Amino acid sequence: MDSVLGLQVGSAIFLNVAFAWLVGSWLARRWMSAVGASKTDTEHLLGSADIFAGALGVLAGCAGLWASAAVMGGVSLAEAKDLVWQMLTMTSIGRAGYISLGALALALAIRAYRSTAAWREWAVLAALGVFAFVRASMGHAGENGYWTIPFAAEVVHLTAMGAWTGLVFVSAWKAMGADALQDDSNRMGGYLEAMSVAATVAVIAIFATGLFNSWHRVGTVDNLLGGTLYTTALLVKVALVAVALLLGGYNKFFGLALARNSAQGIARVKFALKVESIVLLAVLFAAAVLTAQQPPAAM
Amino acid sequence: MKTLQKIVAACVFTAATIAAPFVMAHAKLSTSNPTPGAVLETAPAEITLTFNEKVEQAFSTVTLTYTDGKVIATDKAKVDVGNPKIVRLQTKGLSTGTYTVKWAVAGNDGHRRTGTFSFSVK
Repeated sequence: MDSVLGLQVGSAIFLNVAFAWLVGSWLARRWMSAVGASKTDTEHLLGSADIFAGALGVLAGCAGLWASAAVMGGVSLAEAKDLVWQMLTMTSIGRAGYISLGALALALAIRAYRSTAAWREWAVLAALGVFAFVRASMGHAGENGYWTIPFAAEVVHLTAMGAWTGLVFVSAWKAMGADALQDDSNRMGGYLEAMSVAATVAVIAIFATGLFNSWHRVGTVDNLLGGTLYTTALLVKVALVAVALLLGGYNKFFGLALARNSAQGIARVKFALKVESIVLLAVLFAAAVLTAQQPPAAM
Repeated sequence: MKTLQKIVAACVFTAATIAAPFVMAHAKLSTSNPTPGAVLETAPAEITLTFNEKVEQAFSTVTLTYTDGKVIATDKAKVDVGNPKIVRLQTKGLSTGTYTVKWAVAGNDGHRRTGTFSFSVK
C-alpha cells in the first residue's frame, strides 16, 4: 500500500469512526435521559470521548482532503501540498470536503462547550445531518441533484451505518458502564431496549438502501470473480457484516432476555457488543479500502 | 417454513450488500473524435473526448504527442461548460503522421483515470 492510498484509507476509517461515535453518543444521551439518568452524569461519562472523536474526525477530514488532492493530481503527498487549495476551491469534492469538515468542527465545538442545555443536542444533530448530507454528495448519488431518490437513499445509508456502528461503539465501551445504568436494572433494561429497536431500524434502513442502490445502478456482478484488492475487500466486508449481524441478532433475541434477569446476562450483552464493535471497525476498514479502489467494472 | 424465509432473507441481504459497492462507477472514456486508430484525410482542428460522467476542469489534462515523441504545443484542454462530460483540446496545423492522445481526468468522486489512444493524419 503506497503512502497516498494509506492516507486515503486511514483518514476514511477515522472519519467514519468519528462520525459514528458522535451519532452513537447523541443517541445514547437521549436514551439515558429517557430512563432517568442525570444529564450531568451523562455529560461526565461521554463528554471527553465526544471531544476526542470530534478532534479525530477533523484531523482525519484534513488528511483525507490532502490524500484526495494527491489522487486527483496523480502525484505524491509531498507534491499534493500545492494542489490542495486548487482542489478545495475548484472541484465539487473539495467544496463538499470543507463544508463537511466545517460541520464536524461545529459538532466538536458544541461538544467542547460544557452545557446540558437542550439546544446543544439539536445543534449537534443539525451539524451531523449536514455532514451526512454533504458526504453523500461526494460520490455519484448526488450527480443528478440533491432532491432525487438516489441521493436521499445515500444520505439514509450513511446515517444508518453511522447509527448502527456508533450505537454499538458507545454502548459497549461507555454507556453500559455508567453507574446510573449499572445500579438500576430497569434503567439498564430501558436503555438496552431502546438501543435494540434503533439498531433494528438502522439495519433495515441499510438493507433497504443497499437493495435500492443495487437495483438502481448495478449492471452486473460478473466482475465479482476476480483477484483484485477490491474484490477481496468486498468479500471480507460482506463476511464481516454477516458476523456483526449474527452478534446483533444474538443480543436481540437471546441477550436482552438474559440481561433483564441477571447481572451475568448484562455482562454477556456487553461482551457481545464489544466483539460486535471490533467487527464493525473491521467493516469500516474494508469499506474504506473499497472507496479508495477502482471496482473491477470500471477498469 | 420460517427457516426457509430466514434463508431467503439472508440471501437477499447478502446480495444487496455485495451489489451496493458497484454503484461507485468512475470516469471512463465513452467516445472520442477522432476515434482510436482513425486515419484522417485532413488534420482535426479539435480533439473531443466524451466521458461517462462529469469531470473536473482543474484536474483534467490532455496532451498530444507526435510520432517522434515530441509533445505538440497546445492550449490547455477545456471541459465543456454546457456538458461537463466533454473535454476539448484545440489543435492547429497538425502535419501528416501518427499522434498519441494522452488524457488524465478526475471525476466528481475524486478518482483519477488515465488513458491513451492514437490516430493518424494522411
